Amino acid sequence: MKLDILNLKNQNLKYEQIVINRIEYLFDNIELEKCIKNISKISKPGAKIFIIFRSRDGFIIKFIDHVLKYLETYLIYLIKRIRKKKVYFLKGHHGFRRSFKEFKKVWVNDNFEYQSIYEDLHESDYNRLGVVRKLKLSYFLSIIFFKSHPYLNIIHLKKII
Amino acid sequence: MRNWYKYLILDKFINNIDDRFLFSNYQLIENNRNFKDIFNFENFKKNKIFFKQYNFLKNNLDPDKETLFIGSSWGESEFFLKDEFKITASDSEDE
Repeated sequence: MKLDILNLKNQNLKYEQIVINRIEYLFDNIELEKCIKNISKISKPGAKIFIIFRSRDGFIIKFIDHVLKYLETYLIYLIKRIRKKKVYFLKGHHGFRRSFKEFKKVWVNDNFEYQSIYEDLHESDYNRLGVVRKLKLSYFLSIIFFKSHPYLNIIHLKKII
Repeated sequence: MRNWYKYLILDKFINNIDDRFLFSNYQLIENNRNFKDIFNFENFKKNKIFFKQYNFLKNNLDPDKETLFIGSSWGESEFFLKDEFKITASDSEDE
């Protein structure tokens, strides 16, 4: 089976449960709205929808992405260059991040009702930094920030009509 | 919404990393060179995020209802849940 969620063709099947696993970060707002509309079309009334995502944004996450991760990677790159290694420093467009508020706003509409959110792995985002891993600071950081940066997020929605 | 970038140090130059879909495919392949290993349950269990996700779905999905999986990964959770749940993957291959 091949299903393009942005371009549904002759899709007559309707499901009682849909799991959407890490595709949201690839879509800009227009594509995401299209994806949500199509998910609504293929879900039965009362269907359970689970959205699994790791792209949740926040001030600290933005600071890690734009400043700390950049500086750390660039420093390693410079050290490698000094050691005469032929390496390239590259910046790839991974996708898009959204805050939980933005997620809720875009998903919870006339078709879907918010039920709950499961949050876990509160240390993983800090561990993207080598220095945090080396000094084993992730637990400490997760406590300081009141476990507010879960890496694993699963939103449960219900199809209304 | 904001753009999400990843910084890489590579020993060769790669193109198309401004295209998020191609970049995502590249990472999926590069980060899972031994992708067959994740289809071994003992290896799968060692991956915290995969296993937590799997446990959540196992506890929250209704086994009697038809379930569609739409995803951008190798489909490891679907693979291990397929015996207990009625699962349809949005992009499945025979092998």
